[in-house]
Amino acid sequence: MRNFLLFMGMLALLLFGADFVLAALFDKLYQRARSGQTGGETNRYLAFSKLPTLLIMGNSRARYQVDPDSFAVPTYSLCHAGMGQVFQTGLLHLLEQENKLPSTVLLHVDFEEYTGDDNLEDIGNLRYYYGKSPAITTRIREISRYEQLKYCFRFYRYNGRVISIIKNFIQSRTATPFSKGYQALSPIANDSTSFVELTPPIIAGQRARFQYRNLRHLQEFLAICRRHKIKLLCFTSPYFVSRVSASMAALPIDSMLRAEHVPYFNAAAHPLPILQHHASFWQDADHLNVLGAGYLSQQIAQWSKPFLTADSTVIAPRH
Amino acid sequence: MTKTYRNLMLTMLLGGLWHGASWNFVVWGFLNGAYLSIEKMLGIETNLGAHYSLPYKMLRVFVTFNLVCLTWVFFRAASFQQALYIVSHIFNPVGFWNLRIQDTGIFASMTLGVLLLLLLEYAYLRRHRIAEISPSRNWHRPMAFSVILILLIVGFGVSGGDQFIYFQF
Repeated sequence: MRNFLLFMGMLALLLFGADFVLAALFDKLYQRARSGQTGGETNRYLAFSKLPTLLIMGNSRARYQVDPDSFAVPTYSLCHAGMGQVFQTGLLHLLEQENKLPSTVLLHVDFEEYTGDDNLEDIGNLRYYYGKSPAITTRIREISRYEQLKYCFRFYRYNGRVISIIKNFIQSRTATPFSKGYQALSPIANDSTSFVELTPPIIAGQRARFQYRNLRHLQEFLAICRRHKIKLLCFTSPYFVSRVSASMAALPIDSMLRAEHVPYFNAAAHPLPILQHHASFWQDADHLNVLGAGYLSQQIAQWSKPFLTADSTVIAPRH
Repeated sequence: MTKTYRNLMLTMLLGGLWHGASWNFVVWGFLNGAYLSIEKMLGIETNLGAHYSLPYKMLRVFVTFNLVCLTWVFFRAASFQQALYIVSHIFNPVGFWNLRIQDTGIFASMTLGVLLLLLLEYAYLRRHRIAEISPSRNWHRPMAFSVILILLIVGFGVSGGDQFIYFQF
């Protein structure tokens, strides 16, 4: 028993010592990265001395499809592929904490998030800020009741991202970052809708349900914008093949944003005909390549121009 | 022998159907049953003993791996139509040459991770038994082994709430 206790004591000591060293090492790698979506691009933005007027936020359908150069004001894209609204709200909290809030945000709203489960795990991509940002820490703890226990290991903040962080650190020294954060999808000679629509067909009698609970992250985003008098513009992206989720989610989101006096452009409901008739503008059913992105970017830039030049703040203060 | 083939097919078809009430799983089971039956029919020895040459072993591994991957298309596709679409486009050479890596981060992580694990397995784990790696009489190695294992779980362990792959009901 004595040997066992000695062994376990020594194990705990070595474990936490190694955890401390590894966490310190990866902290340095993370902080120095200026490339990659596991913190590198966020670090790059946070290092700016002069902030852009317009910041584009959203998932891959904003990252690959909206060109900052299309806008008349200095614009930067801080979009992260695969990340839902909970991540975008966490990111805005971080910008708030670091005093790096822009004057205007163009936020991509993705309908898929509101007809399925709440993608709370997306906040895990901001794990580095666990313990550093109260808002992000609270959201991470909501993932599960045991989440707090995992962070007893400081190295857990890099769970699942170890190789990405090493890659980002190396890439920061060797590769040129994307200009203004925009990642264009180069067209391939035979580009077309390259795979079948992944959404399973709705069985007769069943209906997709709008998950009102998922709106809380968007509402929190709006609250931050209201608090700091940030102009907020929202938009959705078109689909090559129309989605049940789009028609299901459009009305509640539209109603909510109208009530908050947030300009909202639903490109899914008003797609450009040229995009609907040319499969070669699409990399897949959800993402335009750089050819199609040019048209969408121009469409959104034209729509947003009056709002960008207007003096008043967009979100009405709460009474 | 006919009974053997029949039983093999029945077992794998039922095994497929057990995973879910969809033609996808039936086809998955059918393919696996067919592979096993053909293997038996051709008298292919399943143990790759030392008397086989390395190129032959590599060829067998390559063929088996690809045949099994083909069955996984049916297992994981959302619908039978989707599975047929994927299979019919796998052998499209134009599509092959137009493959693109959209997210190099994920690709790099997967490739490096797999390479490291393969290196660890072939260079060390296959040459040593667990009792040699972590002998009970010596506390240094079990200690180091435990610390490394726990840190690997902390760094690479999956703890998300992803749905269990078999949950189709």
